Amino acid sequence: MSSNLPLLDLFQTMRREGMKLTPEQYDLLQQALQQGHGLSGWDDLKRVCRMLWVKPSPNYDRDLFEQTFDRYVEAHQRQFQAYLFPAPTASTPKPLTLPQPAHPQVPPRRMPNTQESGETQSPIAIKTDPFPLPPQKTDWIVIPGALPLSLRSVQSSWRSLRRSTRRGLATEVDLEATLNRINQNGFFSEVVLRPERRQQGELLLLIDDSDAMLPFRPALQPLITAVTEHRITPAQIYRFTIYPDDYLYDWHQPFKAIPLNTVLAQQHRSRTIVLIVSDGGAATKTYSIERQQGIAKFLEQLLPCIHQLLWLNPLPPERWQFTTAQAIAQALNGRMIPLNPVSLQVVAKESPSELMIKLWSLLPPTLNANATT
Amino acid sequence: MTLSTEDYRYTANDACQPPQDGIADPQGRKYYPYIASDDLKEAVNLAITLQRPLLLEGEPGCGKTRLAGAIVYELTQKQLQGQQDKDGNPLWWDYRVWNVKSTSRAREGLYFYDAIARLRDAQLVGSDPQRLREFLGENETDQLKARLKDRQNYREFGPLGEAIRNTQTRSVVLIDEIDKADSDFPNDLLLELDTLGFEVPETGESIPPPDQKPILIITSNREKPLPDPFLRRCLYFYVDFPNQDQLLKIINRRFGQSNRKQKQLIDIAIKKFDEMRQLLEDSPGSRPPGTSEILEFLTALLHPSQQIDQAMKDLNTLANRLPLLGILLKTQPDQKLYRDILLKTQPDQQLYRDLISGEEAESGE
Repeated sequence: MSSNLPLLDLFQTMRREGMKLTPEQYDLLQQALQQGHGLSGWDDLKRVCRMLWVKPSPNYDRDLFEQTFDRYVEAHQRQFQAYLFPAPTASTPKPLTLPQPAHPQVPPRRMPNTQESGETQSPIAIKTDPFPLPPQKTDWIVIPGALPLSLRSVQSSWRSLRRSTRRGLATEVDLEATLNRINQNGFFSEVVLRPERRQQGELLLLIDDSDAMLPFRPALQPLITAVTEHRITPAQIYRFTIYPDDYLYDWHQPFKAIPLNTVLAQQHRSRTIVLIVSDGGAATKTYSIERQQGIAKFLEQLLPCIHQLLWLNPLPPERWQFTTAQAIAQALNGRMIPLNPVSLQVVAKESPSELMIKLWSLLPPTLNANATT
Repeated sequence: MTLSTEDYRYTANDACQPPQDGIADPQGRKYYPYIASDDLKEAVNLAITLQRPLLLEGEPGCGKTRLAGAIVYELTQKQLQGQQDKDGNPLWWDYRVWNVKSTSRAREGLYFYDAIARLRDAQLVGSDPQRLREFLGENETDQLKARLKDRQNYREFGPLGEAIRNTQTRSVVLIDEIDKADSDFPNDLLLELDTLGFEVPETGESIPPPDQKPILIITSNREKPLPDPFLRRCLYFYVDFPNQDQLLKIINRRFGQSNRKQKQLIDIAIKKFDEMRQLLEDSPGSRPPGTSEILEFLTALLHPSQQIDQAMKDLNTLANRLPLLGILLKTQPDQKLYRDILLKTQPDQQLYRDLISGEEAESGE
C-alpha cells in the first residue's frame, strides 16, 4: 500500500466483494478526505463512503457495502488508527474518538491475542478470506414487502413496454427533421415524413400453473392483480400446464378450455405483447425433450400472430442451467428474464424489431432438417 | 467576488430558516422552515465540495424537493443578506427548477431553439416589402429584420443551461422527479453532468464549463430504475422518514408556539400518525402517509375556524372521519385496510368504541 493512496485497500476489498466501483469513485473519496470529510472516526468515514459508493442498484448494494465495511474495520482498526487519525495536531483540531463498529451483526474476527497496537504491524499483514456466503437458512421468513415485483413496478414496466413507437407507413410530417433539412440545405426541398406514433399494446398473459410453479404464486400476484383489476388494459390472462398445447385455460375457471386457435385469432401482429410466466423446468431441475418440443410447437404457432414476446422465469438465471429453461432461453435470445423490475425494464426498452427468436434450436435434429429443406 | 467552499457550507441552523408561515421569492416560490438530519447535511456538503449532483430518493412526501429551496434560502440569507436589486426588491440566490415530465428531453434543460419562428420571420421578410410594412407596421418590421440577422435571438436557455452560464456564483438547480421521463433521459444527460458545458449546434455557440459549478439536486421517486452510468456520477442519499423527535421538531417549527390544548392535540395526532404508519408498514401495496401529509393534516386540525374540542373529537374517531382520514390515506383500499386492522388489533380499546359510536351516530342522523 502506498502511503499517498489512503484507503486503496478498502476500495479494492469493496471491488473484490462485488461492488462495481470505478477508479473515479476512489478519486472522489480521496477528494472528500482532502477536504476534511469523513475524518472524525470510522462512522463518519463509513457515512462518506456510503454516500459516494452506495446506489440504488444491485451493483452498488447497500447491505454488501455495510458488511464489507464492517469487516474491513474489524480487520484494520488497529493499523489504520495510527495512520489515518494521527494524534491531534494544530492542523487537525477535531477530537479523536475511538471508533466503534456500529453494526455488530458480523461475527468478530479472531484476532491474535498477542497483537500489539501500533507501528510494528504491517498494514497488509492480514490476509482476508473471501467473503463467506450467508449461512443456509432452514426457516425462511418472507416479508410481504420484499417480493421482487410490486404492483407499481408492474404498471411502470407495462408503460415502457407499450411505449409508443412509430410503425407502418410514413404519413406524418416530421416538422423538426424538415426544418433541420432546410437549415442544412439552405432551401426548402421536400417535406420529411415519418410513421405515425402509436401507443397501442395488448397484453396476453400466459401463466404456467403446474405444481412446480405454486410456490411462486405470491411473487406473481402483482402481475395477476394488474390484469384482473384492469390496471392493465386491454389484457387477457390464461393458464397452461408445463406447455400450452391445443388449448389454453381460462384464468378464473380453470376447467374451461379455450382452443388455442381462438385465442391466437384475437391477437394483433403489431400490438400484442405476450408475457409467458413459467419456470421452464428450472424449478424441478429437469430437462425434458417433450417440454422443449411442446414449447417449440407452441411458439411456432404464436410468433406470427404477435408483436413482442417476453418470458418471465421466477428462478434466477444460474438455476436455468442444464434444464429445458436454458434451451428455451437460448432460443429466445435474451427474452427470458428473471423476475425483477430491473431486467424487466431493460428488456422492455429493447425494440421488438431486434426480436430474433431461434426457433430451430428448439426442434429435434430430424425436424430441424425438415424445416431447413 | 468568488466564494470559497466554506461559504457554501449548508448548516440548516436556526438563523437561516424562513419564518414559520413561509416566505415567497420574486417568482412566487414559497420557502418553509426545513429540518435536515445530520446525514443529509453531510450529503449536501459533500455534493457541494465534490461538485457532484446529489441524487435524493425516499418515500413520497418526506421533503426531497424542499431541500433545494432550503439550500437556496440559506445561501440567500448568508451571502445576499439585505441586498436589493435596482428595483428595490430583495435579491435571491440563483435558483432554477427543472420539472421533468414524461415527454421531457435532455436538451430542453439546456436550450431551446425556435426554428419555426425563424422560418416564419424569414418567410415574412421574403414577401413583398410594401405589404409587410402595411401588415406589421414600421416598428415591428425593423424589429423583425434585426431579429433575423442573428440566430441567437431564436435560442432560449433552459434551467440547467442558465445555471451553467451563470459564471458569478454557483446556482442551485433542482431536477425534480427525473424518473418521470423516458428511460433514456438520464443517459442523455451524462455528458452535460460530467463536463457541465454544452454546445448549441443551431447557432454555433459553445458554452464552456464554468469555474463556479452549479449545485445540482436531483430527486427521484423510483418509478423507474436509473441506469448505472448515471448513478455513478451522482452522490446518492436516501431520505428516511423522520423519527418521532425530528417529526416533533418539524411540526413545532411549522406551527410554532401553541397553547396547551393545541399541544395536546398535536401529541395525540402524532401518536395516531405513528400508529397508522406501523399498521400499514407490513401491508404490501399500501402507502403510509408521509411528512407532507401530516403537515396538511395538522393544518386542517389547527385551522382557526375549527373548534379545538371538535378537532379533538374528530381525531379520536379518525377512522370514521372520511374527509380528514383522506388527507392521510389517499386510496379507498388503504382506508379500508386501516379500519380493518384497527378493528382486529384493538377491538376493546377506545378506538373501537369510537368507531362503533361514530357509526351509530351517522346512521342515526
